Amino acid sequence: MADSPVRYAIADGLHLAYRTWGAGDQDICLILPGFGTIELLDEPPAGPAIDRFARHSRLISFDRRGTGLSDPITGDVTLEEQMEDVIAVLDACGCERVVIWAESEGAMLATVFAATHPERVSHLVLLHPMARMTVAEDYPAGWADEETRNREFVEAVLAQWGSGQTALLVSPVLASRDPGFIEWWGRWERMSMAPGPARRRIEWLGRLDIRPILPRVQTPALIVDRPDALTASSEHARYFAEHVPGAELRELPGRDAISFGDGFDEFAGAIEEFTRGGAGVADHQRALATVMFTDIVGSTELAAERGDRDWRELLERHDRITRDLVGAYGGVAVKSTGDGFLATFDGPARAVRCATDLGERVGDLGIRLRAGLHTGEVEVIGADVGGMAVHIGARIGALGDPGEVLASSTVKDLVVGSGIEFAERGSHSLKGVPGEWKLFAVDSV
Amino acid sequence: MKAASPVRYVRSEDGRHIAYRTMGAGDQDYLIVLPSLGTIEMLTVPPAKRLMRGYTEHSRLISFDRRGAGLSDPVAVPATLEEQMADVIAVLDACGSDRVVIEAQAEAAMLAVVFAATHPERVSHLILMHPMARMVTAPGYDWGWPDEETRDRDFVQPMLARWGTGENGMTASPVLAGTDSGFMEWWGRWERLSSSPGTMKERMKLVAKMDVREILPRVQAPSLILDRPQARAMDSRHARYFAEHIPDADLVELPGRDAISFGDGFEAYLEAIERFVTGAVVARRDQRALATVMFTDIVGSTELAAERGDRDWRDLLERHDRITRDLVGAYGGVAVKSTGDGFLATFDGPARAVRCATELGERVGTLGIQLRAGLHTGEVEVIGADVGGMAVHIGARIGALGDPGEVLASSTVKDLVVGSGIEFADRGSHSLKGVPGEWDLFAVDSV
Repeated sequence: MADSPVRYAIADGLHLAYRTWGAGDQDICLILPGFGTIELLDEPPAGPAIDRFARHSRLISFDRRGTGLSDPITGDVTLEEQMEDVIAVLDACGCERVVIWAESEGAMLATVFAATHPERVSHLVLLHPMARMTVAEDYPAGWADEETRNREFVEAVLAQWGSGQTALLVSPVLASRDPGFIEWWGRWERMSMAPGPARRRIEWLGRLDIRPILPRVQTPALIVDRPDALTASSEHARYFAEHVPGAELRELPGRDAISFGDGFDEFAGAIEEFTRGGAGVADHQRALATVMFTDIVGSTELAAERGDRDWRELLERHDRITRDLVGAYGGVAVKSTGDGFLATFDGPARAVRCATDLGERVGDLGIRLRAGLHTGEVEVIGADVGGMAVHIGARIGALGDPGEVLASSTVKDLVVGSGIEFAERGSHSLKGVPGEWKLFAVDSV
Repeated sequence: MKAASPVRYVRSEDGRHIAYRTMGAGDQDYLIVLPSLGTIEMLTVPPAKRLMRGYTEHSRLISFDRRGAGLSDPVAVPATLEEQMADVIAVLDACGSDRVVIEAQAEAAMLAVVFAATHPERVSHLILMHPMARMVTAPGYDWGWPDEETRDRDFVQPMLARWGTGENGMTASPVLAGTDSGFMEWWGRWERLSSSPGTMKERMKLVAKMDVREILPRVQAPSLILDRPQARAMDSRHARYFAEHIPDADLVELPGRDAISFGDGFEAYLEAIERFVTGAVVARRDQRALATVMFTDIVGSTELAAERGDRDWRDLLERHDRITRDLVGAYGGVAVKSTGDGFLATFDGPARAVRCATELGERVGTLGIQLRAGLHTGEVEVIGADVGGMAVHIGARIGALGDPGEVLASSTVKDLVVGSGIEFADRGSHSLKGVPGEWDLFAVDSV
């Protein structure tokens, strides 16, 4: 097995430790769960599992920012920033397209990444994925509420952090079969995070919700569940299988919740069989994106008041500011709508910050904006974009008060950890769009 | 090796988790202060293990990961020596250890000496291998790097470029690298687990600014300075400087070509330590310790008293005294006594003293009075409820030189608060009445 040393890629100025094993044609990227570190992946019990893939593929894994060998962070993190980590590592490996293998809450990052960057992901393999940690109206699995989760799970895990004791629950078979496993699991915890950041990370996970993203995944997806593993409820996996288009659900034997535990051979076999099937033909023209619609408040009255020439100048300055700022936030200014703009962004937090910043900047010109944001599937049609998400973004924008940046709940759920705060703006029906939409005004960025 | 305890975490005074572990059991406690590079996670793995075994045959060995390193909570900016001292206290308390032999190498010696001088009651012996008092040359200390920039270019950058590969182990420990096939792998992991490259880069910048020369004469613990003249990675003049400036320190030259203790020559290293600790007469501990002295003084108090009248002035003084006592207490200091129109207080940590003096000036400003404040870190002797010693005189002299509203500090204070974000303005060189030498003084600019 060609086993490369740990190397560091750079994203946002942070060092991200990554490593590759093997040299096959197929690239597989293992997204570790919230804790875990590449430092221990080549030691048993993980080692043999890694070896199996390294025999026929190139396996890539990395430590997310703030974990393991990568640079620490002192605040919270967002899925958006972690997507940057994935991109940086794939680029550093010269990897264009990859099979993504993720487990448990690692599936959240994997799913959002696959929906946002369909061109980089050929297959998605998710073991015991979770879309959120607590039950919701249409989500049957998880803890009753955040408080219960904190009390019964977070505190219990943190009280034993670094001791390896949680291995008895997560992986009872390995723990009883392999005398070194509890010790290994203790190191796995310790090396991945100190208790302070671990608490922050586990609490952050409790606030994530990626349900609206699942229908946006285009990648062929294999959802694996081990019904005999006690710590992972099969309802999570079933929810994924029902909501990710065309997803295949496989129930496999094994009483351990982690892939390289009891039942690994069946799991590995399932991945190998699944990835031999054709890679998804990514529809490069469709991807998850955040749509921003802006609109100058009272533009007709303003135009009349200022006169044609002044108004044209004002509009030109507004357009220039918008294009510059959208570019600075990494977005694409798709088109002017006459007295506003349509732009798209890979990352929803950047879209929120851009819209807020834009409102302040054009305030200097004596004009006010309404802005609407929604994250959904966007179709690229030549230089234009289309799709339901664009319509929804436009409808949301129209509902905002002057000076307000209004966002859908999808945007709100995806920026957890960014520090962006929202005020509830109630439930609305959007013309021509089915269902009721909960909207939120950006309070502070 | 006798039983290594599991890794545990203790919360330091600001809530950060500090990972620590003990190994072995015995009457004597040893504390290994690891350098910026290092983690307790790897101490139980060969080749480090063989050195640990040497201690644990007869003693209890304690070690911990500094905040921002290894298994301990990360920090947004590299920690000051003062914060790290609090971590040492937290770990010793968690272990129920009253008094320890401290062993430190290279740059870790800076924390060790400052800790030993500040908390003499907690340190029975000090053992320093290849210690460094600063990284960059200074007058009388001309074997360091010529300047921070050169050090960064010729040392830090190349080291970071190889970070985590284990190749840096060849420089630090050529013999182990040449004889132990697993050593490079061990060293790579040692680096990776102790710090990410970004963290190490920031820490290296801070370490380059540190300077503990002024502290060395204040160490009371019997000290053993160890040097391996054949270890190319370290310049023996660092060790000689320590031996010359720590009172009564022993300097022992050891065989071995590796700069790290558990490398080539580790048997002789262990023997030297054991001989020293069992043989050294533990000095009677007196009431002296390193502390930061704060002198404050109300500007123009005579005129003010005349202007306000006796009764008003007495009221004002009482309020001033209450504010001072409260604030000194809040910053963890001891308000030793009122000097009539000012105060003498002492602090364990110089950054806290700086911040206290600054805030005090602002607070009493609301009473319509201005303060002069002087700060110096040096050896303070506790005499009943009072304090004495040269540092107290120096603090008083510095205070008297300040402009109204100014907090004036010696260069010792300035050197010790590196990393705290406190900024100073140069106030030139002064002679202090009755105190030998010239003193560079600095006014606190921002805290």
